[in-house]
Amino acid sequence: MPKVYNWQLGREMEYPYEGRRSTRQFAAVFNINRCIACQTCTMACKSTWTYSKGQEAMWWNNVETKPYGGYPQHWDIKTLELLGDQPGWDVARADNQKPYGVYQGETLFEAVKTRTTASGQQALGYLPEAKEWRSPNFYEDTAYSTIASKEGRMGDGTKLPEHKAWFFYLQRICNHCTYPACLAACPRGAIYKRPEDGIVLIDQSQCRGYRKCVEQCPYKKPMFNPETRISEKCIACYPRVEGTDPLTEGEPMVTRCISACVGKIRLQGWIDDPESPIYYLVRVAKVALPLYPQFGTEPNVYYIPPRWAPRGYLRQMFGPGVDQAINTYGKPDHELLSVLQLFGATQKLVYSYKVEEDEVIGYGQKKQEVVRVPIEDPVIVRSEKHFNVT
Amino acid sequence: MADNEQFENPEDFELTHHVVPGEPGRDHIEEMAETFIIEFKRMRWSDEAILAMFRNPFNAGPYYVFKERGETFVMDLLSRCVKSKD
Repeated sequence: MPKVYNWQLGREMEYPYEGRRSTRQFAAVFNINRCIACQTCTMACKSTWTYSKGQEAMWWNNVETKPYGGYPQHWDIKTLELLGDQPGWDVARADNQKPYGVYQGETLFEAVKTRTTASGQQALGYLPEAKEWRSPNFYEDTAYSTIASKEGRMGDGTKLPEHKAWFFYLQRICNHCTYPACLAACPRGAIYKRPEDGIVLIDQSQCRGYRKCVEQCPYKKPMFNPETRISEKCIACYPRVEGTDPLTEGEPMVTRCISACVGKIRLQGWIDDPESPIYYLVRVAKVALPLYPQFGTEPNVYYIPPRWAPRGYLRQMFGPGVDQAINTYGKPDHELLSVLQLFGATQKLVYSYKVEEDEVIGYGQKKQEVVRVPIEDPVIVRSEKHFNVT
Repeated sequence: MADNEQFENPEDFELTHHVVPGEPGRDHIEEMAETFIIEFKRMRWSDEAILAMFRNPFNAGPYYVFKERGETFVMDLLSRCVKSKD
């Protein structure tokens, strides 16, 4: 099996195909600290792409409540259990090229060779049952706080169980991985990664609905359409990224879920362009981290971890960079504070930015200004005569 | 009820997981509420708008805090966060 370099793991790893990176790689940063679970992103995606027959239980974008929620149910717990205990990370070897150190365990591509009995698997995985895709909001804010009774029932049903310890919201779309497990899994070669922007797509004319992508994507983002009998997935709103929407006159736009976000928690850009604010957040400030990097797919949606959740849980989910990310995010310097203002500031894709004393300016594909945001608004107190208290 | 039970699989949608414990000495819910307030203050929302966000049942996270801890808790936290920023 060919060897490819995975910078998130700080080492080479095995992957069924030769490593060919795209010219640019689609990426996004989601700031968990700002998400209030209004699900506007979910509905923006739903009403744009998955409103047809056969797509009723299909949510390319979903927001789930951790630690209990999941779509499909318990997707991450099940994959972590398949992977089993791993030695973890050698953080002493961390440097600019290997920001989290070196992962010493096995990835899903490596573990599959010794630990599965299913034939033809390229990555360790499982196929969720149909019922696990139902009720994407199951466990939202009502997680059970005690072990179930002997009968497995929730008391007498007069009071909903409540979880009082902690929780946070995890916003999920396809990670458009650099080394996608779905692509590796497809026996038809129907899944491809676009060389111009790294977006991962399923060729609908080639797919025969074997569901190998659903089985082997650890994030469970390819989904089977029972009506068409083939698989579908998030397409990163590629017509918008290509700039074909007349609204912006040819200028590339961010995805629907990103532009619709009420809390302005999302920013889209390019992970491999040092001028991109995404590159700054992930590689320079190191406040945004990949989701389950140990899976080995090099996912390209990054998360600013929540400040309030237990660190052990967060380290398992986002890797060893969690403590530094939260510490840096908690006390943002001028540049970080400025880049955070670009989140949700425009529908146009921000390619680069410039920080000034009071403002941050975002530039588009042709280096033209697309947005200008004050870093901190001045406080203006009205005179008593005009004080508009209602 | 008993008749229906034989046709249902109660395991399907049973909430069966145990607590993932928080960290001793930390009030994670208060920290979460505080983070929401700071984040939306950063986006220049007014105190009234932030309080309204906590009151709104469609905002699952803030509303959980509002429901569990009450309006006074949120208002105290709001004034504390603003003061600490000054």
